[in-house]
Parts: sequence; C-alpha cells; structure tokens
Amino acid sequence: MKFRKKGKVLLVIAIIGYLFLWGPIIVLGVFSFSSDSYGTRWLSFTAKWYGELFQTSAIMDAVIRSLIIASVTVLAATAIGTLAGYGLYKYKFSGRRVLRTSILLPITVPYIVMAGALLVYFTRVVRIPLGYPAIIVAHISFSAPLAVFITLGRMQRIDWSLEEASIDLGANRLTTWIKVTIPLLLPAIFSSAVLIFPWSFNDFTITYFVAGVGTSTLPLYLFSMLQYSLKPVLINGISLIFILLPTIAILVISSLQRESKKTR
Amino acid sequence: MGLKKFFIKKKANLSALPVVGPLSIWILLFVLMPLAVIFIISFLGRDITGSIIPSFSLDNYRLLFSEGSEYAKAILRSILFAFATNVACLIIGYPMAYWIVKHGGRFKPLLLLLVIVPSWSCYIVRIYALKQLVGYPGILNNFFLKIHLLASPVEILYTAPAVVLGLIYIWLPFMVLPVYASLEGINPALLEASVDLGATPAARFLTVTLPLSKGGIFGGTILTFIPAFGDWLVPLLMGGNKVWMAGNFIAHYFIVIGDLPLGSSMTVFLTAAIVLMIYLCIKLGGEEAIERIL
Amino acid sequence: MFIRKPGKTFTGKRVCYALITVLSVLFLASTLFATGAPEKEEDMYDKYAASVPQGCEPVPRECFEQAVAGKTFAMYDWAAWWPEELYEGFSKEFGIEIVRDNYPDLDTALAKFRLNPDTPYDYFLANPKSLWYLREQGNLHEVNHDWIPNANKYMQEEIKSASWDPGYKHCVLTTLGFDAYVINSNFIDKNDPRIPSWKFVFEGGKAYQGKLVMRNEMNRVIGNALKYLGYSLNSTNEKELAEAKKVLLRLQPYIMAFDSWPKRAVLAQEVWVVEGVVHDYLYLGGLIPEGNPFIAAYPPEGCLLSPMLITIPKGGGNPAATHCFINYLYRPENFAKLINATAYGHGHTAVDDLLTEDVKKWMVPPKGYLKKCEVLTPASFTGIGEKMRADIWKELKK
Repeated sequence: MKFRKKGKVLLVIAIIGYLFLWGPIIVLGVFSFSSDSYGTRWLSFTAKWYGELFQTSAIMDAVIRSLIIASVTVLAATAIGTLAGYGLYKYKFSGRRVLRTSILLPITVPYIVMAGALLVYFTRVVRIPLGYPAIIVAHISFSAPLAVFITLGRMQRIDWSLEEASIDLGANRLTTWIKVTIPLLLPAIFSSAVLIFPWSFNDFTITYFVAGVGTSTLPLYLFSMLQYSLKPVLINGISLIFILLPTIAILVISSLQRESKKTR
Repeated sequence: MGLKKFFIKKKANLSALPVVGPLSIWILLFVLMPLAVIFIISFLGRDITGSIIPSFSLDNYRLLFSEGSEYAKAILRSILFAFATNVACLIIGYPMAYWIVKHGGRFKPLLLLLVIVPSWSCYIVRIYALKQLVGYPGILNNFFLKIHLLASPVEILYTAPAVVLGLIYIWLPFMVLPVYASLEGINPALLEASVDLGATPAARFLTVTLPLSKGGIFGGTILTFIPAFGDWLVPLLMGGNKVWMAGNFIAHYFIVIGDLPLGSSMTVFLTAAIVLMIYLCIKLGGEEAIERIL
Repeated sequence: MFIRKPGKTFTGKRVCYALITVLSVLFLASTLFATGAPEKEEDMYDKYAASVPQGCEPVPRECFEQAVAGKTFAMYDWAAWWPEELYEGFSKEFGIEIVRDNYPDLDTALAKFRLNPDTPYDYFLANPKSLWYLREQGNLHEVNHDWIPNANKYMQEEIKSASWDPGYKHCVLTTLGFDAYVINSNFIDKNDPRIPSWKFVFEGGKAYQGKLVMRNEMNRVIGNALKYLGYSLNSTNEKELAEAKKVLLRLQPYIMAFDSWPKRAVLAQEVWVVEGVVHDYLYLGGLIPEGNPFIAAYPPEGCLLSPMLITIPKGGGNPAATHCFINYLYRPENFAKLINATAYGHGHTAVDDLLTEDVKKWMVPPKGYLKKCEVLTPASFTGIGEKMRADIWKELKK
C-alpha cells in the first residue's frame, strides 16, 4: 500500500515536470496559429504566419546559415569529442585530470565572457576571420565537451570484451576501431549529435560577437526582430518548426531501427 | 569497475595522444588562451573612448573590492539563486529520472527525449513564452482566476522568484539526464540483496539508491548550479532587469559601459569561483560527478 | 538523448551514415548558393540618372561607379523595422547586392565595434553615443556632401547644425524618436492633471499601480529623471544626480520592469505606462482593431531625443554605396515610405504631403517641442558622468 502511494507521488512529480517543461512550448505553438500578429492573444485560427515565414527571405537566409554552421559544428565537435571521451576513459596519462576539468570550462563560464574573450582573441591574437570560420571554431570548442561527457557516460555501460577479443584475434588497432569500437560508440555519437545540433543552432551570445558580415544566424535575426517587428508571432512559428522537425526525425529514425531489429 | 581498471593502461601512454590530442589542443587554443587574454586585460587600463591602454595596474581589482560592494552582493545573490535553482531542479528532476528508470519500460528513450526537446528552441524564445504563461494578465493567471481557484492574480513576473523560476525552467533537463544515467547504472542485484536483508523501501532508497546516484546528483549540480550562477539573460528578461546577478554586472561593464578591463576583473573573479565550485563538486561527488555528467 | 539499457547493442549504423550524408549534402548545397554575381554594362549610369524622378537628383557618376564596382553593400541595422521595400528598391535600382546584419540593441553593436574596430560594415545605423565613440576612435569616414544631393536639398537646416555632429561631417539623420511616455487610456484616466508632465510618471505611482515599464538603458532612465527635476539630461553636477537618484529610488517600487522590448507586455496590457519612444506605441496601437488606446505624453519639461543616424564605418569596403543609399533614401517618396512605416519624427522638408493621416497625427509633437529636448552627449556617457550614472544604476538593481 505504502509503496503504491510512493509510486503515485513519483508520477505526479514527473507529470508536473513534463508540464513545466512543455507548457511554454505549447503556448508558443498554439499562439502561432492565432491571427494576432503579436502572438499574445487568441483571435481566430490562421496558418498564414507560416506562409509568411517562408516568404520572408531574411528569415530563410538566416535559417540556411544556421544550418550550415550547426552541421559543420556537429561533424567536427562529435568527432573530436568522442575520440577524447574514449581516450579519457581508456587511458591514464599525465594531464588527464587537468583536461577533464578544463573541458568543463566552456560549458560553465558565462557565455558573455567567452564571447568577448573570443572576439578579442580572434581579432588581435590569432587572426581567424570573423564569420563562418570564427563562429564554427567557437561553436566546436563549446560543444565538443558535451560529446566528451556523453561518451564518458556511455562507455561505462558498454561491454568491452568485444574490443578485447578483436585485439586478441590479431586485428590491428585501426581495424578494431572501425569494426568494433565505432559501432559500439554509435549511440553515444548519435546522442552527441542530437544534443550539439540544437545547441549550435540556437546559440546567440557567442555567435553574435564572432559573426562577420552576412553571417547573421537565425537567433541573431530573432533577437533583433524582437525590438521593432510588428509580427513577433513569426518567432512562435519558427520555434515550433524547429522543435517539431527534429523530434519527428528522431522518432522516425528510432522506429525504423526498431523495425530493422525485428526483421533481423 | 574491475574491467575498467583492467583497461586503464600505464601513465603517459603515447597511444592516448591521437585520441585526446585534438581536443586538448582545441581547448588550449580556443578556450584557455582566450581566457588568458581576459586575465591579462584585467590588469590593464582604458582611455576615455574605451580603448585598452597597455599599462599594468591592480586598479580594477581594487575597484572591485573597495567600491564594488554591489558586485560582491550580486555574487552572493547569484549563489543564492543558483542554489535555489539547483535544489528545485533536484526536487523535480530526481523523481522524474527515478520514475523514468522505474516505470519507463520501453518508452524510456522517448521519455528522455521529451525532457530534452524543449531546450531545442532558442533560449530567449522559451523565456518569452514562459513570460506569456506566468505574467498577469497571463494565461495561467487568467485561467485560474476564471475557474475561481485564485482570488487575486499572482503577480510573480519581474520579481526575484520569477528569476529562479526561469533558471529552473532552462536548466531542469540538465539535472534529469545525469541523474537518470547514474540511476540506470545501478546494479539491480544490489537492490535485491537489500530486500533479502529485510530493508524497507524507504531504507533501501536511503542506503542503496541515493548513495549510488551521488555521482549523478553532483554531475547534475555541475550542469545546473554553475550555468545558473553565471546567467544574465534570465534576470534581464524574467526579472525585468531589476535584480542583477553577477553575469549582469559583467554584461553591463562589457557592453554598456565598454570598460573591458574592469569587466575582465569581474570575470576573473567569477571564473575563479566557478572553478572552485567544480572542484568542490568533484571532491564531494567523486570522479563519477564528471563521468556521469550527461 | 538516446541512452539505452546496458547490454543492448545499437544497430543504427545505417541511420548515422545517412544522417552524416544528409548533413554534408546540405552543407555543400548551401555553399553553392553563395556564388554568382551579375554582370555590368557601360551606360548604366545614364540609365540610372534618367530613371531618377523629377525634383530629385542622381548621385554623381564617380560615386555611382565606385558603388557599383563594389558589388555588395554591407548594412548593420535593426531587423524588421524599416520597410523591406526600401532595401529591395535600392538593390534593384543600383544593381548592388545588400548584405544585411542586425543588432539586438545599439550598446551591443557598439561593443562589437569597440572590441573589433575593423568590423567591416559600409553602413551602421547609430545613435549619438555610438556616433561619438566611433568618431573619437577615428573609425568613421566623413560624409561626402557632393555625393548626396537629395539630402542637401531636403534636410532641414537646423538638423544640419545639430549638436550630435558638430559641423555635419560624420552622419546623416534618418528618424527622430521622442523618448517620452505613453499611457494606456483603458486603464489610466487621461484627464489626470499631471499628464503630460513627467510628474505623472515620477509621482503617480499609485495612479498606475506600479504598472510602469522603463527602458533598460541607464542614460535614458536617469536622463529623464533629471528632466523631471528640471535639470539637463547630461548633467554632471553631483547634487543634481544625487537628487535624481533619490527620485529613482523612490520610484523603484513602482517600476515593474526595465525592459527594452516591452511591446508584448504593453499589448497584453500587463503595463499601463511605458517610458520609451512614443511613436512605437502609437503605431502599435493603430493596429489594434478596437481602437488605439495609447496616448502619447510629451512632458513640458522636455525629454530625450533619439536620432537614428547613418554612419559610414571605415572597416567597410564600399562607402560610395552608403552615399548612394542616403541619396536614395532622401528622395521624398522613399522617405515617406520610411516614415509611414515607423511613424517616427524626421527632418525632411518635402515629405509631409505624402504621409497618411494617422501617421501625421502621431508624429507631431507640440509646436516648438523639439527645442525642449536634448540628445545624450559625452558628458553623460563618458568619464565621471558615466561613472555617477553607473553607480545609480547599480543601486536600482537590488
């Protein structure tokens, strides 16, 4: 009896948690279909804002730029982050502790600080051209640590005897990596990509400071739009799209996986 | 754990270089070096237009401690807000994670996905939506007033509690994930053993589950307390910029006043505090605090 | 987060490869978009000059050719404020591609120029503070007046001698904002005797029940408090600032928020009194179908004037294009488009007949009001003036 009550409390808290996380998103979504151009009250149903969204070239250009930046960041950051996570777990080397602590810095130092620091550094010290190169470099250094942590967490739950066996059977390191290790790490790689992509896509502060001419990303445009735009409801629409699209993609991918597992 | 030890090879292993090398170099070049630049700037001066003058002085730090008592207060306020955020995230996040582990069944990946998905939209847009929800006249207030659950509106927006609410909203997912990971990693045999030994569910939770998920809790703390500590956009938007945290001071000196050296000295102070807190988390939560971070 | 049960192996290899392929294809495809430029002809200038409407003048050939040779025109301004057709029309007429970036607020934009003086924009829509900083750092091209005949012809003489740009050298005015206050007449009695004086804002806390939003800008808020007390906005007098501080601390419990983007709150009627650029709210209210509830109050004590100024940073590569744009903008029909879409004040002599009735009504402050207004000067945003203001501002942030 007591146990069931406890289970119910858990359920209630979980429901509250989910409602809390989703409430504002649902509000955004619902009001994106209201004919009120400020998206603050319900007048009547309309989907016209979505049409307008796709016709506003400034927004579409910004979306394309954001996609380019986020794609490159995901590829590079996942690669070096996963490698480092693997190394941190498997090897003991001098400086391991320092490395592990310093990769926490990018995700914990306030963005405004890093943004200013990077701009001064890029323009006065290393001369990385502002724009795509600078944005991508900055994004990689901030998102690679996420991949490291995901990999570290994942690796503890992996059965490493396969890798061991492969080496015992005489396969060289590279073959073992390609044939055994990478497949074992795929879920971690996938999780990293899923986490890093939105991070890079939505970053404002750092991107703003290191952006060059003609590289305004979507968040940069949205921030500026909040000031004067008479149609902030467009922001609701675009936010909803970029929550729904990846969610659907992931759900489809995972259900496909389940299918393929069944048929095997 | 035994397996892990087996695989960890001797110190200064050169074969670690190709795998950890790229990230180490990257972190050194694009995180530590820029921070070093900020550290150097914090000792320099500026002229009337805000350009940095290469003259060494400790003035910025003196200003920080003598006249900058407001900054010290803001730091304390940040600690308070971040602590409240952290505790609230733990109170909501731990049971959420526990429930997913226990009752999630085959929907576990989906349930976790539902935790992380809200953070896929732009930070400022989410806060904007949260404001719409909790403001007055806002959606929640209007609803509860209409069904007579509230006698008078709750005007929470633009107050300190609203700032904490915003921080919880932003950082909650980052408590659920590490706690989930560490709960999921607990060997069920341990729980069975404690049942065999006659432990009540409560005792079992306190003596087995809670201590074993310590790493997750501290990992979650690193990911909620510390970012909340350095936040500046939530006080700006949820707090109506009436209540300043440490990050707001830095933003004010970096952006509005354009006093880079003074802003940098504040930054150095804040970063030092953050490093100290990470160190504490690792000390208290063990190595696992970092490994179980996500 | 796809964390699976331990022991279960993951077989989404194909999926990951597919994902990676899709991403790289996307990347490659999008880089393709970035290439390609239109070709030029010799007699383009004559064609352009002939197309300029009556009463207006084209830019000189030299300016035109330099601008067109530069191919792109990099602009840095607000998003979604000015009508898009202005930019599109310019791009079409001159055959110059516009690359436009937007800033979230002017302080942040200025911070970028301070940290990186070479920020390569040809056009920066600035306020007097950014104008001053960029000019002092030697970061601005001088305006070549021979290249902007329309501005010479149509700009009011008093604007040319305005205080923010001594000698009319480094900027060209676009819009003028009056940073006074607006009340929502659905909630506030518009016959309150204190309106339109600043007294209503600074003493009427009970009347508006704390539903007041002020701009999240130190110099504006403190400046208007000084105005209420009858002092200069740019005062550096310690006694006067101490008084302003007292006034603001007294007002603090009634301030709902310092918010530079309060339009959502205003429309949702969360706030009833807004200190800010009045034209924004009048225009906004005009869109409300039930009728415009907002009433502008122009305090007789005067208020802050915020001009938006076109400046030409030295980091840009095509200053001639900026001149072309200024000349294009100052054509009455184009300028009218701008004013009709923003309802801001201006200094154009030939635009009044082209404005809509609503905009005419909203735009006009009482006669002679401009003389009572002040622009921020370096006294308030540098040195001791700034320090004293920052100290007050910090006090307000508890």
